[in-house]
Amino acid sequence: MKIVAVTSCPVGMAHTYMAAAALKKMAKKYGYEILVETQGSMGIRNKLSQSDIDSADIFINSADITIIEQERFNNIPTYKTSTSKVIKKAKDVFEEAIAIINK
Amino acid sequence: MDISKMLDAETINLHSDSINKYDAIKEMANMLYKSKRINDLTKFIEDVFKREKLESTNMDMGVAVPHSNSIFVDKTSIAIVRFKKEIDWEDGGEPVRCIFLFAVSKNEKGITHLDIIAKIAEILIDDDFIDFLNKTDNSKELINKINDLIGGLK
Repeated sequence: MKIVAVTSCPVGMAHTYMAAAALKKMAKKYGYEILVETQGSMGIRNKLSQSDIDSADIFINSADITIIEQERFNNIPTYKTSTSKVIKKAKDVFEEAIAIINK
Repeated sequence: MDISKMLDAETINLHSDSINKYDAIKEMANMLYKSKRINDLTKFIEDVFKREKLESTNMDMGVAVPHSNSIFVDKTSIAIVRFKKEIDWEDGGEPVRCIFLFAVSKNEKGITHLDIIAKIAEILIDDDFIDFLNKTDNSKELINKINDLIGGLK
C-alpha cells in the first residue's frame, strides 16, 4: 500500500506539521509506505512529484485550506479529511481511506 | 539546532494553578511579556483567541497548542504550562493537562524559528514524549528532552 498526503492549516504553524507526523506514525504502524507534503509556514516541503502521486494507491487530502497545485491529484482515489481529524483520529482516517480503495 | 533562545525556565511552569483556558493563556502571555518576548500583552492575547476561534487547538491527548503569528511577538518563543488539575478547553473535547503556546514573530526573517516550531509540533505526536511531559518536574530536563528529540528529526 502506498499513500500520498498533503497537510495544511490556516496559520500553517502547528497543525500542518502535527498532522504530517501523525500520518507517518500511523503508516508505520500499518506497515504502509507514505509520502507527506506539507504546505505551511515554510512553504511547500517534501513536494510530491507527479510520479509519486501516480504510483500511489490513495491520496489522503488533509488540507484545511485550498491545496496549491491541486490538479496534481485529479486522477487518484482521494480521501478528504482535516488536520485535526488526522491528529485526533489517525486510525479512523486510515481505515476510512482504505475502505475507499476496497470499494 | 538551538532552542534555548525560544524556551527557558522563565517560559515554563509545570505547576500551574490556572483553572480555565483564559487564565492559562493570560498566565503564559504574562511569562512571555515579562521576559520581553512579546511587546503587547493585550493584543497578543487577542490574537491567540482569534486563532482559537477558527478551530480549537485542543489535540485531545491532554495537550492544547494555541498559537499566534503576529507583529506583537518580538522573539519567537514557546511557553509551556502543566496544570495541577486538568482544565476544560470548552470545545467538547478531552480535558487539557498541558499547553504549548507558540508565539511566532512576523518580524523575524528566515525560517529557522519556523522550523523549530514545526519540529516541536511534530514531537507532540510522540506518546513517549507526552508521558515524559506529564511526569517531569524539572524545566531544564524538559528543555533537554525537547532538544534531544527535535535534534533527531530530519
